[in-house]
Amino acid sequence: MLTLDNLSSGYNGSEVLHSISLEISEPAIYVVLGPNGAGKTTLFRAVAGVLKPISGRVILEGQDLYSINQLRREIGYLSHFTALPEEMTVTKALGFYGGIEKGDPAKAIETLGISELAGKKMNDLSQGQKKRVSIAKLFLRERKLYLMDEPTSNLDPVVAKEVRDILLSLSKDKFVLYSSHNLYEAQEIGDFVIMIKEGKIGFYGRKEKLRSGGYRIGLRASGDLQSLFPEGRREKEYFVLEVEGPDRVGEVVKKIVDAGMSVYEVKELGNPLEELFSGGR
Amino acid sequence: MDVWRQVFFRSMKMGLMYVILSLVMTAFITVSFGIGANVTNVPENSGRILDIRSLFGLMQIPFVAIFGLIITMPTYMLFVSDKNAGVLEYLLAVGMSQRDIFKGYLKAALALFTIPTVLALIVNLALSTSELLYAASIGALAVVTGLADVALVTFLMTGVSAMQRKPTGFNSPLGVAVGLLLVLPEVFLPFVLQGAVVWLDIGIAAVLLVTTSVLLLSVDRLIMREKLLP
Repeated sequence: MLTLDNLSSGYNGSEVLHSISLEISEPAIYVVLGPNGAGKTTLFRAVAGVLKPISGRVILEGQDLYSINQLRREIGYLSHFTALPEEMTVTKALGFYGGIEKGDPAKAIETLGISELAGKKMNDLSQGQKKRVSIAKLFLRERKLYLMDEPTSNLDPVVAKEVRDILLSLSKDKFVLYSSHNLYEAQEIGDFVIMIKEGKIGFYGRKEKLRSGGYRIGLRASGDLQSLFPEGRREKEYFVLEVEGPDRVGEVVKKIVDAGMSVYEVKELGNPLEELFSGGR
Repeated sequence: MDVWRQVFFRSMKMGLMYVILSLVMTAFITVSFGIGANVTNVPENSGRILDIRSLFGLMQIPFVAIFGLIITMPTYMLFVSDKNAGVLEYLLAVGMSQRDIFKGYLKAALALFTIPTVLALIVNLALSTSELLYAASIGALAVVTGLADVALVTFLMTGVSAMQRKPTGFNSPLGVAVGLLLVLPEVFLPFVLQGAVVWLDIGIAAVLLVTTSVLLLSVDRLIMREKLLP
């Protein structure tokens, strides 16, 4: 479906991505992970056809993306920016792109469940609402490849989950590239992980193959925690515990409270994503 | 709907005051000059006959361009707003080239230009008591000159906004100033050259049109795609 063949891309002749090669052939969610400045957005822009490659090729369905303009119709691209004319209502803004892309604004509104926003002006919407409308424009018509650059940023947890659910449903027969800073989000919805570091691919494979360290938290409580958590250890003023992820913290706190102790502080000590980025796999 | 039509209607809506201002000024100047053109020719101190009628007619040529520049200002501002919001990035993603995008804004600006121009032509012809052919010729030259001026200024202003890292729309008054400068000789030289100034007008229009065409044809090389990103 999508092949990047020694793709180098960047801005004003200066490379950000360096000779990236990868092949995507299975409908799924591919989470693109990487620290700020690693080249995630540049990768999305190059695949979307926004940036021309400095060298190498973007091949979609066996054809060079930059040679055949019609191929762009197969791609839906969500950038960091809302890309919505600020003075328009939601319906008109989607109609604006619907006219250019020959799509159906009503279908997009229905897919994202934003009919209550339809008559509102973009200027009057919150950042989260704008993001939903921005995502809606990708559903003006059917596509094969969806490029979503941090689609859940600025969204409240409920809407973020709705968006993830839509993408999960899409991924049954579509290809979704999804960038995120959040390793746990990647583990929750991704099938594959593409990790970018300094403009190169640090890791590409099934998420199960990505080895990450545990999530380290520091605890302060009214009693002795060692008896409750024998695997933990004391480091300076904190009792340090390694758990699978942030969603396990609640269980730890409950165990302490159930044991009749008070919790004074819970602190994130180590972010395994940072460790991944700084130390590779 | 084509991009240029969208830009045209959005510019009209966003810049309604510019549209009104341009139309009021066009009506005022055209009527004033039309009345002036009907004044009997008066002798100069030297005894030479000053052809007031021709002068007023010729002086309308640059003014059509100036009112055209005023009405097209919202188009430059819209370009800036669309660049900052990521609209231009999205247009690139759906397969448009830099030239397609610039052409869209240019066509919208030229469509806006026709609004005061049509008004000026109608008033001008209505006030021409005789020599309709002469009035029509002057009108045609005014349209070509204004069109060329507006086209070049639109291209320059959108181009400058594209090159700026974070454009803010302050370019719009600058655009009008540049456009004014280009046609300024046409305001004063009729007093010196009289009827011969027509050749200067034709020359200026030709230079502006050729320059705009060359810039538009080479825009894909002049302005890289990343310059249209927020």
